[in-house]
Amino acid sequence: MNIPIQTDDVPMRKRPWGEVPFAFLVNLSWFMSFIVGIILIPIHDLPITAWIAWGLWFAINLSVTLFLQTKRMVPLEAPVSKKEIQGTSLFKDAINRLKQNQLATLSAGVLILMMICCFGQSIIAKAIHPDIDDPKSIVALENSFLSIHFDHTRLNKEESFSPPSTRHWFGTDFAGRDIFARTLYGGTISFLVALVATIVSLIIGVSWGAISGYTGGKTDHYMMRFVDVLYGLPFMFLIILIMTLVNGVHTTASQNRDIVTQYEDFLAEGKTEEADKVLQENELTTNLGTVKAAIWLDNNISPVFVMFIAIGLVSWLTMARITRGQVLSLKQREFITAAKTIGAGNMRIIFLHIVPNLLGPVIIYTTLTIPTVMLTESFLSFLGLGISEPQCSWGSLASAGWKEINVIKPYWWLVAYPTLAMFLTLFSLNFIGDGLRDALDPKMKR
Amino acid sequence: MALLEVQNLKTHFHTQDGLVRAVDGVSLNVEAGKTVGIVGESGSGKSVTNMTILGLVPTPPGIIDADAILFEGQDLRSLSKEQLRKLRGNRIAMVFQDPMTSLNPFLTIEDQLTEPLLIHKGQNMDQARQRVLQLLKEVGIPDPQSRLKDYPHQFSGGMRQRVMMAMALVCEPSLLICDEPTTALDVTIQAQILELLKRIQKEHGTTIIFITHDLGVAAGFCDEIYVMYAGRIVEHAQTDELFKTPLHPYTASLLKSVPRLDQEASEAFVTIQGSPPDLTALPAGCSFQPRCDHAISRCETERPTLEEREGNHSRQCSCFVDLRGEVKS
Repeated sequence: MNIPIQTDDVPMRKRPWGEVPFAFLVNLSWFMSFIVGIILIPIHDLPITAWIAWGLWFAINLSVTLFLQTKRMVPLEAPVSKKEIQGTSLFKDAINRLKQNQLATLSAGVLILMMICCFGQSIIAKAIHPDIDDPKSIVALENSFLSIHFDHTRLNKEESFSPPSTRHWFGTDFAGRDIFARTLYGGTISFLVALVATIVSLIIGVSWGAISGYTGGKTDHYMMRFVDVLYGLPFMFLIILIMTLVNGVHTTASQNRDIVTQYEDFLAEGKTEEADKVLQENELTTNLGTVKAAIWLDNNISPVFVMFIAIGLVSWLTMARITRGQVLSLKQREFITAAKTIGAGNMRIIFLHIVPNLLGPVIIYTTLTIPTVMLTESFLSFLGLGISEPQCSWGSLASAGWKEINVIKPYWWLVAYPTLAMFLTLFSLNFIGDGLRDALDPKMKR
Repeated sequence: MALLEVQNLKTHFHTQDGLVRAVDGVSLNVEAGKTVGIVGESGSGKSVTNMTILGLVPTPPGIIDADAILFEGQDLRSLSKEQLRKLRGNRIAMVFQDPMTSLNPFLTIEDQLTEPLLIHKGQNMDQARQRVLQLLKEVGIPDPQSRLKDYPHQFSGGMRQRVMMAMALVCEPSLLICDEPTTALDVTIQAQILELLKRIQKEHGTTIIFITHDLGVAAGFCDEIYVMYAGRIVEHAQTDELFKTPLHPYTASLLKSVPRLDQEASEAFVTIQGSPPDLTALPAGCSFQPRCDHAISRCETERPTLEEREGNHSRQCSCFVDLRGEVKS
């Protein structure tokens, strides 16, 4: 497409759309206008002004696009920059190539917007409802704009199952809670699950694979057989086991917390007999220690955190294998021998010389791990093992909605909006992963 | 006293095909300040010898046996892995054959050059950077300050080899092992690099072991030369003597097969017949015997040993045939 065209003796070329300034913002604006349009359609009592505003947005997009189209022809020679010519590192080079990939940049934009919205909701909800995390303070019938749209715990029985409207953009669930607020709140949980699980899998997976591959021999054998054994275990089963254990601890703790507090109060007052009586009444004489431990665990470790760790612990296996495979070929390379001849130790070679070379595959695999982890969390929430009310995630929202709706009660909004959010996020992550793989592959270098 | 003294070094590898005798009884004697060349064709054990000296041959599959490996009077065999690691890059350094692959593509040259100083001298980054700048200037990198943050792929082949040399020299080693440092470079760059090596040797008094299969380079650069064949040293002499009167048929054939400018274009190109022997199944007698033009019956059954000739200590050869027409008893 870049055929030079003679105009006034200056050779011209047509820039690809990605090189035009502000092309990224225009792309993002187009995409968001379509998403907002989709959201506006089902709102039944929408005033006509909203559609006019939307039409205006559309028109602005169109005119900006058409204006930028006229700016695509540029002189063939690059303008002489006075800046000193700087060498580009592999990383900068990759970023440049990523910028050319419009699908990837658009996805990154969508993802970042999504994260801003989700974490913004948490901040707003915390500000208008400071003790939001306390399960006893759910009811907050305040009719301010922020409370209606951003407080995911706000109950209103009279408004249960109301369809999308100007009052509740995404509709409400059985308790009259706003799905818009809950979708955004679910996003925070889903993003946090992705983040924590990915970090855990990165640290364990990369270290395990790198050490195993570099050391070789028997160590490698046993380390990889351990991974194989974990692979062999049905990992969903493992997570479910851990989560059931956590749930058990939680139940024991919540049942016996008051009794133990009472017992300890009596002890503190010196009434030993009455304290013993409390224990005997509740049959806690023999297993007081266990119960105390359960209460301690329940107080100090949140079940959500345990779920993060549980998912992370099983998601590093493939990462370890990929890393090991890469290290096996990398350690034969001459620059590793060179590092040995200057007297670098094993750990130094692994983490300073080999791990930077793994960056490409590891980043790509990470972007592919995140959707997997999010889906795992959704599945767990679907089974009722993930997070508990009033907390929610996209997966738990969808599963709760799915239980509610049937032919007589077609409350589609319960499922559609969380699913849409999840769909957008997962697609964005996949496109970013694809783009990164292309950008970091030296063979793709033009 | 010799800087490096290797006696009867044997490095064998266990493989599925059997025992590979990569190095089979090599003795080297490297005097301080000298340049010692090791020549031989591919697979003759030149590189393995030096890797063994540096302690970089993994055991297993490698089996290392030697009467002595003395470096600065210290027996390298008695050192622990950690002590050996402290020696590498500090007292003994190495320059590799292919500068394109021996620098880490993901680290800046600053990171790679300062690494030996950080490891061995315990210097901080600023001190190390000063030293590296000085060295880069010395090896002839123009404007080193601006190139510190560059990555290896931004350097040309010759420049990278200079960087590799700076990396090897950064701790002022007393022994520099150059494993075919000029093979991957074109002739003009080769000349520059050799010039640089000579200058460095003059200024720092570094001892150099120079591994090559380019006889022309060896002739111009080395003080004495060891000729290796199938894991053994077949001839050892001062450079002048070796090129004037090669005693071993292999050396003679090698010299004959070097193409010369004054050769007629129509003349047949002299080659050594056959190919190097399989190291898992070496002939019972002389390893070179199947390819040798001068082979006598004794060569097939009896293995010749490296012996002094003409009473001159630096002139050794392992052959029953004397190319000057005398048959040894």
